[in-house]
Amino acid sequence: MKIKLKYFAQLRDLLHSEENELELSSSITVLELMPVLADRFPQIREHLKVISIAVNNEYATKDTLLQEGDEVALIPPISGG
Amino acid sequence: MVELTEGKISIEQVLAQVEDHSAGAVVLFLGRVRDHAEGRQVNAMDYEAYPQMALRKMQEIETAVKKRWPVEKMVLLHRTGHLKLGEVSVAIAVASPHRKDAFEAGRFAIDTLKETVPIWKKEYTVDSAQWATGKPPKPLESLKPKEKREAP
Repeated sequence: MKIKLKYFAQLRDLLHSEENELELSSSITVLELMPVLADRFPQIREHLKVISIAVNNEYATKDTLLQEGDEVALIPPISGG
Repeated sequence: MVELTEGKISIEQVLAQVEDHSAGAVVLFLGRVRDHAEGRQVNAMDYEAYPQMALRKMQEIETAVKKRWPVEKMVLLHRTGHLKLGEVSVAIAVASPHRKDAFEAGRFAIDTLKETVPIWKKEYTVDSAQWATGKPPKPLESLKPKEKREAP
């Protein structure tokens, strides 16, 4: 199944990209996604420890199960205002 | 109403949007680009948002405010793009019958925006640019209005 990954701020800078598709062999949780991301994007490995994940515009928990077509955003610490 | 804009924020327009004859109190908060951050001299800022989600989180703040306080009209407006020193990055206006509620609601709105809305700023100094340290977002449900201060 495929999900859409979106990156912001320092992650977008490091990855030189705003979004990508990611192919997953099966439906996995947000927690299980983290090592997949670390493997695929070693340049942001350190950042992955402090990011939050949003699925379809809502903050996800570790147990959130990813579904085909989900928009999964990597949210670095926020600094709006 | 909630909005993200790349254009300059017009304070007159923000205030016009909370026009309400039953509201005797209007609290307006403006966040501006400051000339320093964590000991560094700052010349400008870039603000970036995750637009769909930021608007959704801002809408949740408006809903939470209207549930807690007698607020008929409010504006949450955040700017994105490149801002110079002193330019307004965020405007929050709250109209309520009485000042106490307007102050409390306005305070809650800006505090919650900073804790929940996916927006980032990059700080430009004379010779570098770096993303602000920031903090991990919190769920809105976990945020309560600040303790009321006793009058002196």
